[in-house]
Amino acid sequence: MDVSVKIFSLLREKMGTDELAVSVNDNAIANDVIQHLGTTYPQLLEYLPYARLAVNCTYSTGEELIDENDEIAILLPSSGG
Amino acid sequence: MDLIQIKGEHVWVGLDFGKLSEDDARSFLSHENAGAVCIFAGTTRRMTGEEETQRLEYDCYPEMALAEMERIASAALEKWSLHRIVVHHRTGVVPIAEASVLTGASASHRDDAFAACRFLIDTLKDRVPIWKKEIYADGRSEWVGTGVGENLSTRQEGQEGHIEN
Repeated sequence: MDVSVKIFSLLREKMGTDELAVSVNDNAIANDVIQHLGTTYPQLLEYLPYARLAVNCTYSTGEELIDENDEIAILLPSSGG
Repeated sequence: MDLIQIKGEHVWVGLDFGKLSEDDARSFLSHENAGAVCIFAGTTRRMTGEEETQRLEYDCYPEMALAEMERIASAALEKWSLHRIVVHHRTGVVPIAEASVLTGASASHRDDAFAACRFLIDTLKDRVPIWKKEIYADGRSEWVGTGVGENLSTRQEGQEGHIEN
């Protein structure tokens, strides 16, 4: 299935878009999405070790099953405040 | 769209696209049984060591930022005896000396208000998906605390705040 992954801040600037498409298996878990992001977009590889995935506006444990209707985002460490 | 917010009886969280109102935060925190109101304002600093900042620009994931702010507020309500909580963050450009963030708590006694206010800002910095870009006076710019290279040290400032996920 194809999922779309929201990106922000530095990643949005680097990639020139605010959403990335990734193909994963139908029984993919959140960690698979991160792995496939790295394979599909090697420019992201240096950032992915620091990034966290969010699924439906909640930080992911990495183990959740992903549904194609989930809202998925890859987030660099926060620097608000 | 100037403000997106979730405003309940005890908790008010918001993302503002313009100036934050300390007066509005203060009004919301008012409570007849509050003996203490504590508000923290995080503001744009011109000088960091030898570096001169011209302005900050923030980006955020609005829906999740609000959800995380609510979770942080709920965690504070469980941890301390509080009357009201405010968590507001500004997004977009924040000029020198203006506030990018307000956290506030009112409580019957000051220990709870101080501790909660500190927890709210520390945990916000750690968890709420908002990102800061420093625009320097000499024209350079960088996203702060991306985790890559030297920016890693910047991230460690905000790590006292922690809620189980």
